[in-house]
Amino acid sequence: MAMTETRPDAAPERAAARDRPVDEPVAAGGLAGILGTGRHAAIGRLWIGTSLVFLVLTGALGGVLGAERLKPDTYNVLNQDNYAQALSLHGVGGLFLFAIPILIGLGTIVVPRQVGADSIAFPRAAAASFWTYLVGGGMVVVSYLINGGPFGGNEKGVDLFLASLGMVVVALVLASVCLATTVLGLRTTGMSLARVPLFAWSVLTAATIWIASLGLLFGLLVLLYVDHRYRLFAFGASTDIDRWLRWTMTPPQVFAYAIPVLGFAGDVVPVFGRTRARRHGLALAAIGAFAGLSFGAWTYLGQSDNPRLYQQFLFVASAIAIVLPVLLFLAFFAETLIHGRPSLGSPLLFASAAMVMVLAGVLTGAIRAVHSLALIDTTADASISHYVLGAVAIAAVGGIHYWWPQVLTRPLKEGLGRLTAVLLLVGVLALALPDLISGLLDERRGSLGAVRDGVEALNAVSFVGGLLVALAALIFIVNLAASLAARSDGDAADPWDGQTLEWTADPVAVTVASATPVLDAKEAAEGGAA
Amino acid sequence: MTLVIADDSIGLPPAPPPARPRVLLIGTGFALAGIVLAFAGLIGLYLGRRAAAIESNRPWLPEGVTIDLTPGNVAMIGLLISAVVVQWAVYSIADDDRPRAYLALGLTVLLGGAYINGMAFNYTQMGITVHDPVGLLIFTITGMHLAMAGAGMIFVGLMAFRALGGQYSGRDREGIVAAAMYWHVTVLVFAVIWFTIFVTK
Repeated sequence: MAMTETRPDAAPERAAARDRPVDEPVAAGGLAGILGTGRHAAIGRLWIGTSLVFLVLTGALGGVLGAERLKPDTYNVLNQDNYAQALSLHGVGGLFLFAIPILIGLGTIVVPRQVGADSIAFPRAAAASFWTYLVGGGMVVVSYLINGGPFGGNEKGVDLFLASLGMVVVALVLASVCLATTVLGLRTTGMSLARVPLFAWSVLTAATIWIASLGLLFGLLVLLYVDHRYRLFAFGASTDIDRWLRWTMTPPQVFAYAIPVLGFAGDVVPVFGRTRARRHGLALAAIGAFAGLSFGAWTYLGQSDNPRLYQQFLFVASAIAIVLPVLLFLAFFAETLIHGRPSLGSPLLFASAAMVMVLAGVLTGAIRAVHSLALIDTTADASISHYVLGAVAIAAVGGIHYWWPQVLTRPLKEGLGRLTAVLLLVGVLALALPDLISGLLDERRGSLGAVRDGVEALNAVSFVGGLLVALAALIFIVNLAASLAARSDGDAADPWDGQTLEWTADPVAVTVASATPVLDAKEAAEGGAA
Repeated sequence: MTLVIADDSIGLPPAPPPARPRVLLIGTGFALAGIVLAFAGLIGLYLGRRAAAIESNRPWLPEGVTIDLTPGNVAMIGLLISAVVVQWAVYSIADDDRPRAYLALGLTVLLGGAYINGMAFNYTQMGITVHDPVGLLIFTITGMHLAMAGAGMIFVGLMAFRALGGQYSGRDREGIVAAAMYWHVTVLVFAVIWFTIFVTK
């Protein structure tokens, strides 16, 4: 045999092994495969699955709290202490264990494909962030179970809460760094920031705001931990921890968790309007402005050291100004639909419902900022939180429906999806709106007691709204389970005639020279065929 | 196969040439933003509480406590020198002068170690404990900065070992630049701490 002759293959497997680069690891299967995965889609699914588990937990707790408020003058199921603890876990769990993580999960799956990257930036850091979140989130729940957390009586349990919430915050910041870096650093050739799909853009802006604001929160948690660990209580005992966390759950910061909702709606509307996205630049600007105005870390001393903050011009002006980008975005949303031929797919219903929630949330936030109404620290705060959480939940469920080829690889039932969207819309409105009216009737948040006439009835409406949300969640879980039990369709399909890169078979191979490259490709192909 | 898609109907200008990948640099920048905000929050709280104490004619520092300026100055000067040295590492690797880059990176880690050692000594001299509200703030802020400097030393050290392994050169020095950027911000944050806690007390 001459030296230049190619050696015959002994077996195809050996040939494949030989062709594989030396440093490419062999993918593990089973549990080792899950624990060691660095694939963005797998990590994203882990984020989504875990955050849904935490949603069920915090949602059930919300149900108990709602039932307790049916007779607001006395404590029935809970007592004063564990009512406050349950309310605290409901808030912390809803925002830090559900809302941000589920959006991170969706972003981790979709964003790399949307920008034409073959993976998320720092895949091992992305995986590490998920496992840190899982352990930290679990310990947050455990800390409440052992009578720790805010309002807890077990000092070590309070220490555990502060440490584990710090872990969760670090995990969320790390995941945000991975996502933001993916959009900024791994975009495919020709995809300038002006051409980035709206969801990817919203994830970039959201991640930036989350990194900054959660970074500040981490500093505070370290301080509170040291304070509490050495039993000095210079910054308050366990009953005061809630004051230090309030800024993360109230306007303007609470709106930062809803930034990707706008991106989801922006990506869905041209697809289901069956037209091109009109005024892409306007939508980018609206999302950017919404993100900028939702940065609320500067209000972190409002509940502790600077109560006059709520009367200051900057606070009031920013609370009102944030309505403008939402209205601008809705104009983009409506104009795209008006100029198209809309089809009422479930993702469009979810997107519309989520935008209603965002609008209701910012309007309530603007009303809350009017000092003479004295709405701060009333149930109006809960109303806004519920609008935001509702918007995130609706967008996340809508995102799973819309991006099922990437998220599930199996379709969800459209009819059940539409029913879920309508139930969530009605349920969240019924859940949140009465709390604003109760707030106007001076019902304080955080404790029960004598209330004015009408508040009891409003609480009942709110409870029914919660039941509708629970019913919607149940339908979604059934739909999800049926989908997961079905046979996989194999390769990612394009069931909606999508317009962004994630709908191409190989986004990495695409060089972008347009704001709507996938649609261009389809039009070019149709034109060529004609 | 590369699919190139053009669009004439929107009338957008031709796409710019692809940017050089700077993933580690961008990621480091984002992480630093979070870290800076963590310090901003704590230093803001420190300044706010101190201003409130001064406004109500209460002493800020507990009786008998002195925050000597000299150890703070020594730490500040040491870190400023380390910032120059780490930049020297960047310029050296840019010139493909690997021995000097190794020396500069090693010196940076050494100066970082000296800073941590100096602050630990300073803690023993200040006469303030974590069991005092002011001490709590000072120990939390400076302690977090020690952790930041420690992480920076690991980052610089890791990049030095990568360089020793032959990874970086004049054409690709992203890791060294990212580590240097981290270190510069570490020095910058300490400059604010030095002014807030050691100079204006």
